[in-house]
Amino acid sequence: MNIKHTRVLIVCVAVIACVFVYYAFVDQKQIDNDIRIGGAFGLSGNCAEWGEGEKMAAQMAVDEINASGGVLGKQVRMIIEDTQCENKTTVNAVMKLIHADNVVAIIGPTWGDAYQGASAVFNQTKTVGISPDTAMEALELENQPIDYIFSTYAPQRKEIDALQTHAARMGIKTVASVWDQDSYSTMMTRLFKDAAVNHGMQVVEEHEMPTGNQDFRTTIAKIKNKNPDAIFISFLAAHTKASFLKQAKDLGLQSRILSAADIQDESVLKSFGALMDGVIYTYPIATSGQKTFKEAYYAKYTTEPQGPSAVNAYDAVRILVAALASGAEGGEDLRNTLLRTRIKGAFIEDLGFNEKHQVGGGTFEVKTIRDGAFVSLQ
Amino acid sequence: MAYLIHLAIISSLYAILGISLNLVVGYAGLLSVTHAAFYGIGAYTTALLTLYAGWGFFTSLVCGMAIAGCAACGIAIISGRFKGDYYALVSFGFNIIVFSILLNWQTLTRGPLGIPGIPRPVVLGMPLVQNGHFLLLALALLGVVYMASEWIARSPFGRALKGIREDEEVLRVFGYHVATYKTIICSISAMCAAVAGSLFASYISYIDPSTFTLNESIFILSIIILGGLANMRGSIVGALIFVLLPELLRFVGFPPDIAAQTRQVVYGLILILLMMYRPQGIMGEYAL
Repeated sequence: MNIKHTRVLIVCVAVIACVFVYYAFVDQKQIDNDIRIGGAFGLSGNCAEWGEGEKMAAQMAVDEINASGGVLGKQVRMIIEDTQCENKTTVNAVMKLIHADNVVAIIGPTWGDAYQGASAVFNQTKTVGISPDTAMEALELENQPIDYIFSTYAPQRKEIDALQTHAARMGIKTVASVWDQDSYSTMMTRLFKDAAVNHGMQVVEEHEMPTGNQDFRTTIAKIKNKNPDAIFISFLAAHTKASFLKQAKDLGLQSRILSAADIQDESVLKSFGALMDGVIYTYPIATSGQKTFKEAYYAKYTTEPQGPSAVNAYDAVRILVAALASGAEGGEDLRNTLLRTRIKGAFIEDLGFNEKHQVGGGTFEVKTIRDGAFVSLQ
Repeated sequence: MAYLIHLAIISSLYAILGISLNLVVGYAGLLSVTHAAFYGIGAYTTALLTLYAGWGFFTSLVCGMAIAGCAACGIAIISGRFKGDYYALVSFGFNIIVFSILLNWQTLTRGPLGIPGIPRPVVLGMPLVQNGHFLLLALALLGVVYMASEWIARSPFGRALKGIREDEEVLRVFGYHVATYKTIICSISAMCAAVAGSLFASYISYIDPSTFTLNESIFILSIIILGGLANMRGSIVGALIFVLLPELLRFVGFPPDIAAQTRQVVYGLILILLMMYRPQGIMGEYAL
């Protein structure tokens, strides 16, 4: 290595070291009067359409709380980091929020696979993490510790049970499943299959598709050949849902389409409304909170809530702040307080966490999409 | 401090990956875009053996190295017939095959659900729960990989590799069995990548196939192109830049609404500028 290279190396290392040392040792010592919470959302990458909505809804909750006087006389400040929807970057973002920004708790991360990567960090550092969209069942199945991990997303088993009860009532006996190769969709489909027998249904055809796949014509043709009473779909990306539904219509597929709660996405409805007509899904029973949230979101951002989990991010901030308002300071204390805290939620009326750290209250209703609107079937 | 230790661990992993890939790309001149596959083999071997077979970290690490080495040997025998861009395409294909296996062999790898709860290594009866202790292990393994790679590079074997890189035909004329050299260096490189995979799995404690995609292979290739081909220290500098630069940008006060996107644009621009002014990389002795 020549002298020029050595200089370049020394300068690079020195600059990087100075900045990190400043933030690691100096900045965190600054005492301010804010309560810092972290927001680890997928703002770029393949979960960005969920993460952006979560970020905006969480920020809206923070702004509302601050406008009404904050918490115990202090303002709440949310420091937002991008997880890029990847395991490694999520861990980086969470480590930065916990150790460099000294946040008391974190809202996020977006999506379960990234969340599982960060879950060890939450438990090791005793930092509460409330995800707006994680299936706690994925952690439960593996007997993973959930000490500091919470989710405000719909409990998947409860959701599937409501959907299958309704499907059985409609006389559906045979079902085909089509899903994305991601952890959320795989988990949903597995739960659907496991519980199908209890409702007198049989899964006759299964198609696991590479994530991002847009061409379902061969799959649809195969399903059509089996002629099942219904098809259960689970795709995370809006354009994937739209592609499947469009191709199913084009190929004249007559089977009913069943879906999980993630189909109730205002931004998808706006873009692909007519294609989604007739899809049957479950969602927590509509509350005045859901309507108020939607109106407030529109008033603030002049757009519909983006992604299916925006309302869950909004609730995650509100229940966290409620726990902080009752005097919890972080770590074990905050975790225990959160388990006792109940608020009037936007997603579910009586929002609180059960022993599995999922939202415990709420009943699911069966809904469909008709004439560009989400309507209840009950 | 904990954040810095974490970044130092991640940088060490990528330095190991960079150094090992540099043996193949920098010294042997083979444009390989499959390193994430060997990285994944190491990670999954450690995850499966420690969790389900109850093996120790170091035993599973050696096993991961052996599997990755054998896989690389097989690939090198097949791809030995190809050169240049065609070699890159073959290696590209192997990455896709391994990714598909990790994603679809669900009874073994759990597919997209990934494998959580991978234990930390135990050294002399002490589990490395503290990240500081884990960093020492990562640095020790980085040191071993670095020294081994430097030794290879300076040995007659390494000089023959450089000869293959510069003119394969000449080496053949002098009686060197070029295919054997390529196979050996590919296997050694894959074994080192498996070391990084094992460390990654036990550090993060959760792995899924999305970490070992083609994008990751391109990322590792970028590390050595930026750091400098055929220079081990360059690989370390490249790893530091690629890991620390995006983290550094987290501290720059971009407007919150567009911060994430702006950071990525700035990150890309910095890399473009670096390549414009240092096309051979920061410490490179050879350009692709």
